[in-house]
Amino acid sequence: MAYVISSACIDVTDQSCVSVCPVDCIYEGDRKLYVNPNECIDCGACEAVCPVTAIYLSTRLPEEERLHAEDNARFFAEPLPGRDEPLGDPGDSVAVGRIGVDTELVRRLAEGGAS
Amino acid sequence: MTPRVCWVVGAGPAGMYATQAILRSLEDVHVVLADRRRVPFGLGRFGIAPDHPKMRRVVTPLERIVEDDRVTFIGGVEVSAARLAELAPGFDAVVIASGAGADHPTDLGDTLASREVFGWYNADHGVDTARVEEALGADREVVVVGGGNVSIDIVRLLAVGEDRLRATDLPERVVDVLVARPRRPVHLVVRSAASELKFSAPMITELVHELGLRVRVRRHESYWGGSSDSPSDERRSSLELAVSGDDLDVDVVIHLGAQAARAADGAIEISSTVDGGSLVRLAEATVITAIGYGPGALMTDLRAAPSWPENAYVCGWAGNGAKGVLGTNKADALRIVEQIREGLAPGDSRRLDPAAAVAAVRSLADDPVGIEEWRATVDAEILEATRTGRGVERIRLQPGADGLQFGTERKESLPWPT
Ligand SMILES: Cc1cc2nc3c(=O)[nH]c(=O)nc-3n(C[C@H](O)[C@H](O)[C@H](O)COP(=O)(O)OP(=O)(O)OC[C@H]3O[C@@H](n4cnc5c(N)ncnc54)[C@H](O)[C@@H]3O)c2cc1C
Ligand code: SF4
Ligand code: SF4
Repeated sequence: MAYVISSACIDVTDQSCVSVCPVDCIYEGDRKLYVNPNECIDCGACEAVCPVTAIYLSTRLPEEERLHAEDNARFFAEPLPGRDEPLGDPGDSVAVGRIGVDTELVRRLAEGGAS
Repeated sequence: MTPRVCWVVGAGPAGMYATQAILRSLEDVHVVLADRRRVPFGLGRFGIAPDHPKMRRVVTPLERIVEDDRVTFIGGVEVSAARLAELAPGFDAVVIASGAGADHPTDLGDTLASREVFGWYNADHGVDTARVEEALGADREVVVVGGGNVSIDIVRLLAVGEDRLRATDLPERVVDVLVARPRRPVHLVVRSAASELKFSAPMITELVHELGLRVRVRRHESYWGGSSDSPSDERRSSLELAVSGDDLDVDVVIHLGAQAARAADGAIEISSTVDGGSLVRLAEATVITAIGYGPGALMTDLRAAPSWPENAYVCGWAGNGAKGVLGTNKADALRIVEQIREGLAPGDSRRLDPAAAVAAVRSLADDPVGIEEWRATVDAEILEATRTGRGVERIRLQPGADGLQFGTERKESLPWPT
């Protein structure tokens, strides 16, 4: 299952979710944040604080946001643009810090939104 | 310059997140982390339901914190308000993260408190296991009173089948008692109407959809109609789905807008909160109350004292009336550590150095233990699980004059490392 951050987070990135995540499994890309599905414990704390309702349990994602379940996973499982290695499961988003790169999908969505 | 020294009282989630935030935000710092239990993590270990293994993983990052070189865990230390006030000036800051106190009392006569029940199944120490096992093993219905997630946890564990129970890390003994329980419906009595329910929708959905339990919801007629707020759609649908249980042969009956009372003859009567109309009468029942918690002794005494220690901050369930989930404590910890950082006196003070600070806190206990006790517990649990052939098995720590008892084996208390 795991919780998923969907497109509404793009360019909001206020990090309210980060400060309540008990296992530090919410990582900051560039213009959006991502939940590591292997590390998430399904506690739901992030969903309750997101100011733009960007966060859903994967099984409850609205139809048009479904692709973000896979995209959140991809952020960790596949090398990000410009990188050789996938991020994997570092187990500590605070130690990793801001990554500064988004997935292809999010980059496309973000640019589309800006134009 | 000597490092900053902080004292965190209580190593539950709130104390652990406070420790983590201190380590992350202060450069040169040592944290003395004290708990009355012999092992850390509070309700993170002794509260969270055993059949929610994913949620239980919350302790994984906490283990890293407690093993940090800049942290000294001291278990078996019950900190009193007087001692806290006395030692506080030796620290840069004191964080009070001692959690909530006992279950709120009721006028239902002899009942089991939720702390006894989840303490029993989670192998906490200091629980009268014989009392809990006798009450749950008796051939009578169980009535759980309370509308929060804790009451749902208890109902679920009483209702699920043996396969589910064996797949958890519940102590073997607990599984045996639960499996031997007569198959009778578990009643959940919730005062609120559906619109004010405190438990989260997924908790109910889980009962019906994931576990396939037969759940019947009995409700007072004004259950949605009477209140102007309607329940969230999702909650409504999970409740409506749950209604379709068989009337006679169900695992769980949820009474909404209802209250329980003990009649003169000892029977338990469940009635409507709106018109007092009787819904169910049970000649004999084991009652478990889970209606929230009062403040703990440490906070009560500190609040009653003439002055509050100026460098003491409150975090988590100790300060917020036992409200909030794991993540709430984390946000709380970040907030108070920010205050601590701003309030730090520059330069020197009458601070103790780390070794003296550890010694001062250790001296509060007759038999203090270090983090080795936790490591030994984890090792012993792995051993025990290998012996019984289950994947994992929680064991009950029974500290006593003759050392600790792990499951069936007895071992000496570990000496303090020198
Ligand atoms: C049954 C149950 C199930 C729960 N399930 C979930 C869940 O699935 N998801 C979720 O997000 N939240 C859950 N919660 C809530 C979560 O457990 C709490 O939010 C959290 O434990 C509160 O943390 P705390 O550190 O403030 O208190 P506690 O966890 O109670 O920790 C307080 C610590 O202080 C110690 N202490 C107390 N007094 C003293 C003293 N005088 N001196 C020294 N030490 C002292 C105690 O031994 C304890 O270790 C559950 C709670 C319960 C009761
Ligand atoms: S709280 Fe919501 S908007 Fe803010 S960073 Fe998290 S997901 Fe993005
Ligand atoms: S559900 Fe809990 S563990 Fe998962 S990302 Fe949200 S806050 Fe973190």
